[in-house]
Amino acid sequence: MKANRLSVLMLACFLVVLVNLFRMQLIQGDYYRTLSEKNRIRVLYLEGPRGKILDRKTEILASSRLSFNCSVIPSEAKSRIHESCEVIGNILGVDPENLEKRYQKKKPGYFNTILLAEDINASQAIAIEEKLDLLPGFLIETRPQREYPYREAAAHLTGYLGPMIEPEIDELEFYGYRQTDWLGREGIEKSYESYLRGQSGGLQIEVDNRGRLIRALGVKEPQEGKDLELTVDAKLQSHIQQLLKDQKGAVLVMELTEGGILAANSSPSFDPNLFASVSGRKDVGKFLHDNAAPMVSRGIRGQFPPGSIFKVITALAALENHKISSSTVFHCPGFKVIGRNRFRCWADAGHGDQVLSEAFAHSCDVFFYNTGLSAGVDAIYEKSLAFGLSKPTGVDLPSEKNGFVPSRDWKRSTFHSAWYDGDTANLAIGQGYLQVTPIQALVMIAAVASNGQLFKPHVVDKIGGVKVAERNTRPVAIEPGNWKLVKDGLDQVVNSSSGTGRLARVAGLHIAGKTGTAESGQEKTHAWFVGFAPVENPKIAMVVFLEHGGHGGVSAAHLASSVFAWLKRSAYL
Amino acid sequence: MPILIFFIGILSIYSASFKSGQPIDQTLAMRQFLWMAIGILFVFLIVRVDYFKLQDLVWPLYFFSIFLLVMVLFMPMHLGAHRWIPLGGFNFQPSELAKFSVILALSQFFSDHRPEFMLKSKWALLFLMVATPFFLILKEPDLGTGLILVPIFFAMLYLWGFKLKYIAVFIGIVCLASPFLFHFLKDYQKDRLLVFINPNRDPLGAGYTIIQSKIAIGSGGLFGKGFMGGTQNQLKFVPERHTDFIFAVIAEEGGLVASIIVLVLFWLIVKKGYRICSQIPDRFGSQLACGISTMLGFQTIINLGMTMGLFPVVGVPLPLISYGGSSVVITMLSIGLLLNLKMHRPLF
Repeated sequence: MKANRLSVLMLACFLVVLVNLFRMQLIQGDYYRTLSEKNRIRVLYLEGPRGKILDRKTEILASSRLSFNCSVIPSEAKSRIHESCEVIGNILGVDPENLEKRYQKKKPGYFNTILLAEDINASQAIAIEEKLDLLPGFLIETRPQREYPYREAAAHLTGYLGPMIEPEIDELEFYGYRQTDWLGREGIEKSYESYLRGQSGGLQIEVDNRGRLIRALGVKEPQEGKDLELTVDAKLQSHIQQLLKDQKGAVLVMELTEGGILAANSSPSFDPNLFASVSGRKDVGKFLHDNAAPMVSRGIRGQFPPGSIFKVITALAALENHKISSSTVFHCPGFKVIGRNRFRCWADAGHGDQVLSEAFAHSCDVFFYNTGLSAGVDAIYEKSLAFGLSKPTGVDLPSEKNGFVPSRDWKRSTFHSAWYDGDTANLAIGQGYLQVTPIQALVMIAAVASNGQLFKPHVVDKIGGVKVAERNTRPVAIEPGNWKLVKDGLDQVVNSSSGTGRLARVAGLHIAGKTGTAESGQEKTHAWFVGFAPVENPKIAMVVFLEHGGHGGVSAAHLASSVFAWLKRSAYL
Repeated sequence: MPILIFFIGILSIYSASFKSGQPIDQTLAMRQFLWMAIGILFVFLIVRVDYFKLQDLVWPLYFFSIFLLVMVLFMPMHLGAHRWIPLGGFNFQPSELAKFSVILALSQFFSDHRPEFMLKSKWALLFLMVATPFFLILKEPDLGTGLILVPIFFAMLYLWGFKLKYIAVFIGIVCLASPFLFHFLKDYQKDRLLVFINPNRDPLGAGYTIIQSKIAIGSGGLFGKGFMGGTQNQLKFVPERHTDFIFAVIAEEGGLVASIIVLVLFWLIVKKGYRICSQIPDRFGSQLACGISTMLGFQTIINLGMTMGLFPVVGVPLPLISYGGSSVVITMLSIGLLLNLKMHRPLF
């Protein structure tokens, strides 16, 4: 009885609710519907400009300019898309059907805009902007377009920007990236992505159902990315690229106070501007499918047999273990018989009796076969590791390769065969299984130049005006006297009248170095030159590597000479 | 019937919390499903016990929930309130349990005493029994759950035989005291009450929820905008749309038809509850049925009224539909008890 009364009371309450539902949803339904149609909030992204990449003299290597895109918000454009596409098509001079096709390929997501036309010019953007009243859901978005004024010259160094690929989208969303964001793909753009990248801001606005602004609800200011100042000299960089022309190879120049890279060239190269623009990306196939591999930064990603430049390490391995001294003489008849094989010296006639400094100057192979055999593979292996070979140098550029130094153990576990003296002889002159990257050769010669400072080279000097680079070295333990012996030898290479590196000479500059001519498996050998100057107080170290470039003493030494001369003219030396 | 309501709830939670690309097993809807499974488990458990045996548990449960209510005040703030006790992976809301145990305690008390033969001290005890959890819950603050206790208390008092006119007098006193009580509310609670009187007072702040929720319901029309098609919901205009304002989602996407279905289903449950209440001869059982039905009924009415702008926004979940583990489990427990009462009618 009482329960019934309570139940009736409750029923009454339910009825009130019911009546109110009727009132709201049926009688006032239209009123609320218009309210809900009017309710449109848009988020306009304000992209934070990406930081610039500058060289050591604040010359621009990469910067962004504003480009205009025409986009559309599907939910608002649906009803009149056909008519709108015609208007846009007329302004841009493109087939409206193509625009409509692009629109149809939309991805889900209510507020996501669809890009209809990229990088339209300013007057087209204004023309569209004027007609926006007729174009519900359309809008002109601005996007920073990346530009690389030095084009091919610094392409591997700066890298380029590219759109995200599918698997990255989910992962990067967490870091505030949007699907349409582009990110650094190679070089500095990649390794310093997090600094260069601006923080997108946003403008939350309320618009009516024709897309007209009613009021702004909130703004988050975008933040600029940080500018990077490199240790690189853009002028030198482009000078070297001109010297390299079509020759495959890499040139790396490093100053020896802090270990900053002054130039890092790789050839053949590509135009990063094509990669960084939407229209240009259609043409990048020619780079990607080129057999000459222009996309590979040979300086840090190319692994090659070093040839005679490795004799530096062979000599030090023997000297440190007291197997040879400055007065040790080996006779070179033009070959050496090891086991049942004849190992040739590059000079068929032979060099006769040679001491260490002469052997360096003439790059006598027989002398170094003997030196290597007396030191033994283990000592050479150990010294190679001490000079940082078979490990990345740690330069702040992406995807550096390891190189490779063979050892007794490695050969046993890989080929199930013993290490023969012939292998040691090959290793001693930088042939065989040995592979180094040009930047490893650079770090090696810099260690010789600085009497045992193994540099960790760097490219970026300042981030947002704050200096981040510092001299980062670790010691290579060698007796001081032995440094002197090796350096004397390298001095002879360039400055003796019979030195193999004579062509590297520059008037008024005391250069030391070592040439290398490495068997490449093809007819034409790889040409190497590693060197430093001035000998008394080294400021600059350099590696020149020319893939199938012939003799190190000719092409590589010659190119090095031009670079040294440029450095002297520009007061680096 | 409850299951049916629940499925409507699952769909609306799914729609309300939909994020593109989220795998189905991580959605709130899926978690709600899990809670429901636990709830159903409880129903089967509780239906099997003779409810007289429950009487022994009443007081321990009551004090346990008071203890939890005190404890929750020392828990870290979450969304500006101490409402939840974190329990390894999920959050437990003790005020829901308190609501339930107060009903049990009151049933026990009312079946042990008669209004005609009550000592003064007993009256005070009765008052204290309700007031303690009431104020503790207000302290959290959880205005909605606290206020739900009041009609439950009155309904059970009335069923007990308490004179209607006394209840009227009591309500009168509360009304007179309300300006004074208003003073004790938190700022945001005051805001909500003032906004209820005039939602346009602060259209982007406190009134925003009511306005957007009303637009959502109203724009649903007769048949609604279709599942996942509600712009108010999908564009996230309605805040708290998977919890307290879930009805706005249902009404927007399902229109009047869906709203009426939900309303009728709730009414059937409540009506059944009162029917059970009137058919049970023993007083503990009928008080219990009355308390539970009143709780379910009022929660529904207040929640719907709130989303439609008929009540101030006080934060009451819609039973079985709103997302929230504690609420689902406790509601299922209550419904389980109702079923139990129906099946175990004592044979004397």
